[in-house]
Amino acid sequence: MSAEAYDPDEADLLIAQQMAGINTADRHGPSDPLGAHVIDWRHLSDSDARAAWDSLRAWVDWFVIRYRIAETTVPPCWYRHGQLVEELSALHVAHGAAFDSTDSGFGPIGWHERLSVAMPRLTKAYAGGCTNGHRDVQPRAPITIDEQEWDAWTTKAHAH
Amino acid sequence: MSNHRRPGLWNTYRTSYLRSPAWFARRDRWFEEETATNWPLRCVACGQDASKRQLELHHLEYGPNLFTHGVWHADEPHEDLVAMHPYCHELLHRLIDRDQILSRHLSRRVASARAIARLRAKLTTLREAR
Repeated sequence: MSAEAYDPDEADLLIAQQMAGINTADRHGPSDPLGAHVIDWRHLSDSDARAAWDSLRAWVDWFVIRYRIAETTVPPCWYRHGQLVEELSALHVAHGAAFDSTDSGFGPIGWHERLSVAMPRLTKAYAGGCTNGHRDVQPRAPITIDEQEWDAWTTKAHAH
Repeated sequence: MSNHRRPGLWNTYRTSYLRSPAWFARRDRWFEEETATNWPLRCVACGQDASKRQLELHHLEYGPNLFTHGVWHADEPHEDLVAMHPYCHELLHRLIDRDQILSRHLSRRVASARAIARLRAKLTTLREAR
């Protein structure tokens, strides 16, 4: 899908292509036919990455204009801020489901209610700093645990 | 009113009834009745022909399933059951679960009928677009 414009018809075609590979015996299959193409960024493969990024980019381009989202909330370098990507991706997926033809009509108002709750999180997810070009956020240090202490700790539930 | 799926732990319908000999016998009988109509077996959601082994049954109503003397009795009318692929059946429940109107404001029969109609339209469109 082109990143220039968000086109629901094109999204449907993409879903149709994905449907071709769906196994009707597998009840754990995706919710794409209901308009929800969930992206799990943690497990996204490199081969699926481009399509996921392009789809999200097209939606974000539309979203920031339609809802007049300030650059202090969603900067041009949003895709380099992981927390922002997760939040925007969640809104994108929910938007697809809310406005899908399978929805009864409460989906859009429900999405807007979720959006109002998500807005403060979006602002917090970025928190400024890229006004004059992207600046890498200092990543927090990975958790390091003493393995011996961990082994000793995990021998009990510590719940009572 | 709620058409939401209940968690398995508190749902004797799923954990007990759908595993009972009475339900398996009723299921077999439904497919015999359906086959006798000479219409091909098919999934009501995606519209594709399928075999009995590939289909499961969705309840449009929880009919007079009586649990007496420790035994389930399955007497659902034929028209209260519809055949669906496991995946299409799952999509139906996901749709009902997420949709306020379908899950809270309609009878199970009406909610199911509307959800199936929407699913059928969507799956048919997607299939034709392939």
